[in-house]
Amino acid sequence: MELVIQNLSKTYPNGTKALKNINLTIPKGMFGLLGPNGAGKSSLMRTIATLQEADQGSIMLGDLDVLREKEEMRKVLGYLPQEFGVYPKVSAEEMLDHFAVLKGISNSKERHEIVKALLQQTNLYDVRKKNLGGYSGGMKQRFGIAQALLGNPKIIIVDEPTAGLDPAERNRFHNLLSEIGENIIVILSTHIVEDVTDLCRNFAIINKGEVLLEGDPLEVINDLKGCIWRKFIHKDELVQHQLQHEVISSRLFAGKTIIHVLSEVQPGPEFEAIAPDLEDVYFSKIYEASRKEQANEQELVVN
Amino acid sequence: MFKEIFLFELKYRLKRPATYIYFGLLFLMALFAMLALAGAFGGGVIIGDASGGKVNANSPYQINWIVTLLSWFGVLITSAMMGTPIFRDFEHKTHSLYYTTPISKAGYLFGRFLGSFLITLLVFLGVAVGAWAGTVMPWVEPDKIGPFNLMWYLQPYLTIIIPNLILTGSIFFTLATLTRSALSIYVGGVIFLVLYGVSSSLTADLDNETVANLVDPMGASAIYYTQRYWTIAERNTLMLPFSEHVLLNRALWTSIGLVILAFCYFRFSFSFANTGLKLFRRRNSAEAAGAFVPSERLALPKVSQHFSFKLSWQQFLKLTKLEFKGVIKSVYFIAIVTAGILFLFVAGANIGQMYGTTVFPTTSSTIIVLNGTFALFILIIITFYAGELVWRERDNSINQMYDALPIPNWVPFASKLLALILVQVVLLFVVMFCGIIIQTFKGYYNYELDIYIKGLFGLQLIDYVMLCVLAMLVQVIVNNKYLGHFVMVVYFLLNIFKGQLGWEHNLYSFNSDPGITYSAMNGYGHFVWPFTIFKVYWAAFAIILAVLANMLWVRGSESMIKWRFKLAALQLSKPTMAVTGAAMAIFMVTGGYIYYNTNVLNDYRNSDAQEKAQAEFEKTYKKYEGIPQPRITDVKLNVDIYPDERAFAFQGYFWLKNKHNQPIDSIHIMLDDNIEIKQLEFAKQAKVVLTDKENGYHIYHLAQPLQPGDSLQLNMDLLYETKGFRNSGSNTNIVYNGTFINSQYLPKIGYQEAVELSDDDVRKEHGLAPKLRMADVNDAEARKNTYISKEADWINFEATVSTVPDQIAIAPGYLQKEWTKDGRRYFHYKMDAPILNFYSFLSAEYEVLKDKWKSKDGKEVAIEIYYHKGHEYNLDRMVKSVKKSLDYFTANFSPYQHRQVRIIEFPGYASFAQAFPNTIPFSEAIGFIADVDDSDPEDIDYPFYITAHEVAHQWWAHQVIGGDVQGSVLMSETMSQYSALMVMKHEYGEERMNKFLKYELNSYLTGRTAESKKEMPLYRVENQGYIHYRKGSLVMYALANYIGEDKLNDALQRYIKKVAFQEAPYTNSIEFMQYIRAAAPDSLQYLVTDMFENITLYENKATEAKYTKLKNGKYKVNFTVDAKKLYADSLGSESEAVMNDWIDIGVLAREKVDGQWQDQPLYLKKHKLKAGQNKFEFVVDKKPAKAGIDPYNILIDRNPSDNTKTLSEG
Repeated sequence: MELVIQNLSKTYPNGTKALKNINLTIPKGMFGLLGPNGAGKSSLMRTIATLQEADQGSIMLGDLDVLREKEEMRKVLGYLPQEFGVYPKVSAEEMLDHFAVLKGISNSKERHEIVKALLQQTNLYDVRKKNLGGYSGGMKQRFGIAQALLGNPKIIIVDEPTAGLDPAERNRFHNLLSEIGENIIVILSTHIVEDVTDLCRNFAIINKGEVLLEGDPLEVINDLKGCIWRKFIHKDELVQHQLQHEVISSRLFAGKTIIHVLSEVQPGPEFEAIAPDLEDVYFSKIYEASRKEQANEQELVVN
Repeated sequence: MFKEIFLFELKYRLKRPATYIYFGLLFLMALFAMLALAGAFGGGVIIGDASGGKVNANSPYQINWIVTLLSWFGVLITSAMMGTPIFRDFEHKTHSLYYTTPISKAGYLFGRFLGSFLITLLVFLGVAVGAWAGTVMPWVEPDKIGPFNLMWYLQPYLTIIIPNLILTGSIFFTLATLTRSALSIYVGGVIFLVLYGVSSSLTADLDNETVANLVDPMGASAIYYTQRYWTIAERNTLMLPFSEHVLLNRALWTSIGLVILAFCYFRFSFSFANTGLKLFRRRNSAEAAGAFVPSERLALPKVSQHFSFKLSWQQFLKLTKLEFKGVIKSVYFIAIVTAGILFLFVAGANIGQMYGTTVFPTTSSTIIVLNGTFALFILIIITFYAGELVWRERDNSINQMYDALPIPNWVPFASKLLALILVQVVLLFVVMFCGIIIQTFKGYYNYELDIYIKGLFGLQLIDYVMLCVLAMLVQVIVNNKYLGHFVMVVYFLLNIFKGQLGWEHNLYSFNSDPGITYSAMNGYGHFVWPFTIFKVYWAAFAIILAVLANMLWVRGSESMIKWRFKLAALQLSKPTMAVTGAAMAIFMVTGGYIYYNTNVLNDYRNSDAQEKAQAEFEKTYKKYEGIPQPRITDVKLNVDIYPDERAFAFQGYFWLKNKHNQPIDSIHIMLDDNIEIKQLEFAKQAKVVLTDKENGYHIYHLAQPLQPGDSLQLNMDLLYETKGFRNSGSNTNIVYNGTFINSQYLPKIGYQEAVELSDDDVRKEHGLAPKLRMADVNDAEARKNTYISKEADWINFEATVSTVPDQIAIAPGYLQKEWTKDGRRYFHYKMDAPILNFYSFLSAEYEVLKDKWKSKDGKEVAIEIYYHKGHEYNLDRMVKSVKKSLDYFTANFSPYQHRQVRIIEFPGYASFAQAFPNTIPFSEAIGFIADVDDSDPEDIDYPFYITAHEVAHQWWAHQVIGGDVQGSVLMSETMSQYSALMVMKHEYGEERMNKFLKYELNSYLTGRTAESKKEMPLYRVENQGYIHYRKGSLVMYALANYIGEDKLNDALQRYIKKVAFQEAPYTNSIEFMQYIRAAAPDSLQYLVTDMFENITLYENKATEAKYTKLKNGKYKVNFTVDAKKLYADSLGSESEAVMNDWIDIGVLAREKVDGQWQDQPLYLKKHKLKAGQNKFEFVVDKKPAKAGIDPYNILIDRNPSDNTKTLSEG
């Protein structure tokens, strides 16, 4: 079963074009949605999660029309929103049990088992009787994950799930996700490139409501082989380099500035070729998109 | 630093649209209030305490009240404005930025506070601007608008708004700042309501004025106490003075406000981690649990999901339970309910208070009082928790998770609605338990659980359920919690004023019904069916609303109404359509049925249309007023009462006699237009010239004119049927049990001016000239009629009344025969002496108490009380009162003209007793269930008193009846008051009379402020209750005190002898006054003039009072009194009068008499006083407690409590 998104567009009442003609096919397994803040990731995920309407387009999960048959979609959905709260005066166990009922697990024995198992998996079992109001950010996040896994979801949507988790928790969470992701569709949105590299068989880069790239991380990295060049510069030289070369990223390293430049050929003698990683792919796509936009604007001015 | 923060706050606030919206709201409310006052929506609107129509809309008095009352509603705005200045930083999480800057705490707190305070004050200026704008609108009536005076608009800000804002602003500011919770603002609101209710409940008892004044945080009591006895002239010209009441109250609450603010300052800290002062919540936190630890491979147990209706139902129940628990466990709910319960007990202590004496807490009266009291809290809970429930997920940011869950759309909405409804059930149980506790404490153990169940869960719950639906719908549609609350408040206000706006038909006023009133005699009676139908109608509508609310339920992040309608369209499933369709069908069918009943079977007219019809009638037929008509001399009727069908029929005749000295050729008859005329014709040939069924006006032309002295018979066969039900005002005269119909249903001979509009404002709207309330006291023409009837003098009366077998039917007269025929019970009554043309017919299931009174010369009078089973409490008092009254009246006035006295209970739809010839219908609401505690000297035995008053009418009205002119009620009502007072004085002693007279004084002084035309002196009273009852009591009691009871009674006896049973022209008060004057010595003629012919007010006061113990064991008392007499004109403008008056000067001791502390006079004598200071010195035998002028408050004085002063030793 695949999730097929076609021509999906959405404009907010304030004029922001959140989604512009999105076309994506998401197969079984982990799918990463990569993009800067405000790229439209959350909008897209909310739309898939039946919480937001689209102006145009369709989303099909197999034969299921997600935008119309919301109730059916919700039966197979696990969703962890980017930001969420809890009832402060209810314990994790009660709350999870409550969600389990709402997810249609009517057999109380089964419910009890799954709640127990999830609390153990998310390592909340020891604090299961504590009120959620007293949970730390990480604990709350784990609780959110537990509730998304309730029932037998065929599709799980997790929006920036690792924000607020420490590295160890993040690893553990990744393991959990990748195991689940073996049999069902898991859509993971993030702005951390490594998450995608580590986990996903497929991914898409989205920026300003548009899909810039869709594919297998390894393949797209491969496509960029030999096109990424690195140079150490002084920070004063950055502007000059940006004018001369296609600088896709710059960062500080041990007091010096490292720039990555996209080029088919070696841009200069001080540049050394490096093996591209997914981050380079990401930055190069974002760079291309902004170049294109500038070009469009210039055209407008010329015309 | 302060300046910067202050200015920033000002600028911030000035940029917020809310500031202008709030301003606009207050502006509009004040505008509408002023327009209403100025007659733009019809006459007769008053804001504030009782006040008359002559008070200008823009008088300082009215402006002050507009400002005061709107400042109460303004509390909601104050909470929104003043709660947020600091709280905003927590809400937007900007506090971490602010608190790390080097600002001072004082600068930050007070800068924000003051900035918001000024803006709030600015917002409140909307009231003054709106009120002013109202006065210049074109719709106002110019004569309601007085001159403009800017200070009248500004002064209330100094006395009311600013102190209130300091107080409420500080409370809300402090609460929100310290608790960092927006919700806590509501707790402040609740505390307010409690203080408010307690204060107003306490004022019911006059002795607690100081306390009641002080506990009123908003100062309304202070205004009330300062202005309550103000006359129209004073209300039109005087601003609220800084009286003691005002100063104390304002100073107290302003200081409390400042103390709260200071507390806020000391308690507040800039700490970032500080999560705020938790007022209620226990803090509990989980220790950080271990992070994810690597564990064995993920293996989740397989679960099965079963999506079915059964599951949805389970989810619905589970969610309902959760939501319900969420509400009743929340601290705010507990706080509101606790406040409500406190309130219930305060109100419950004073059930049915009349003259300071309560009634037995029967279940029905308990329910009425408690329901009324608790209603406000329930409205708050519904309004507030509808918002909380609808927003629960979003407030906890759990909505995204929730909305993506596979629950059907109807489940969240329906479960929240049901939870809110269940909360109402719980609250009504609270009311019930409080009621039972109150009953138990008062020693009343007849709990009547069925009435509790019917009254609370049968009637009240329905209303609350519908309100729940509406509140939820509003919350869903406006999709903003606070705006939703506001919309509900506006809805509640509209409901209060809908009558003023002309929205009177219950078909288009959500959740309204024709009313349902309980009476112990008649139960809910005929009210049940229309009530039920209306509730079914509105329930169907509520279902449509609920479906709509459910479909528009916000699920997901699309909150725009456009999208929600699109989504709603997707949900139009078959079950939804079926439910909506069924509800629509029921709505239409019941609506049609209601319309058929209210508008087809019955006439529906809103008040405007009703007034118009009355005006038209007057314009058409007034020309016939005063044309010679024959007068009724005999009435013989067969009256058939059908209680179950609520119908009655009159068969029989009047004898009409031409008492004029010219022939009469046409006879005019007026008849209730609801009566079906089967026969209405004269025994002699006559032609019908006019039949105006609509107006009930008929003119017959006699073939042979009726010669002077001749009589003719008017035969009639009339049927009154109750058809269906009315929109409002169902006829409570004819009911299942407790019918009480009087002669008004019978044909009237000649034009009756009683049907004319009486309010001059309303008359003006319809192009009619102002109407004289009564003819001049000397009007010879008017004196040809009694003030009771314009169509008869004394009549012979005979009636046979039939009813159902289990009821007893009663009419004036002596029972001749009783029999049963064809399943109906007949009673034949006959009067043996002529009576006034004023009679009634009653029928109910009665128990009868019989007793006898024997006069000194051996004449026997039968005493009968017809009462409802269970209402035995005060029968003995009534019987005793009848006997004592007969004793006193026969000894002092004249013989009793009848051989029986009957008191007959009727349902409490009206609260009066009325004296017909030897027949006294007496409402179940007054007296029958009074709980008089004889051991409590404060309790007034009003069943005894009212009975005596009605018995006295057998003399004063049924023997002596004045002409239809000013002052005639002096000889009926005032004299009945006097007679009853004397009977009561002899039974209970003078001491208890003081308490009673205190109520009379308060009623008189309050009553005169509500005068709509002119306050008349007593001898020219124009049916003004506050004068002929209240002032009458005071005047006559004082007169008896001054000239002596026996001397006064002698004069009355002579007067009765002269005028009793006289024919036209009837006596007037001028004649009466001659007898009074004759009884008064020359030295007291001034007093008679002052009391009857002037409006006289004293301002007497004891200023200094000391005593010293003498060597011989006696006490020397020195004191100074200040005397002042004022004359008021008919509008209340006062001028000081020259004084040379006899006034009591007294020295009182406090002694225990029969186990009760009482004032005992050591010295009491009338002295001739001049205005100003008068010094006295007396030696008394015992230790004195108080001394002063007019210590028993015999004279009319607006400040009776300062007449005496407690003596100090020195």
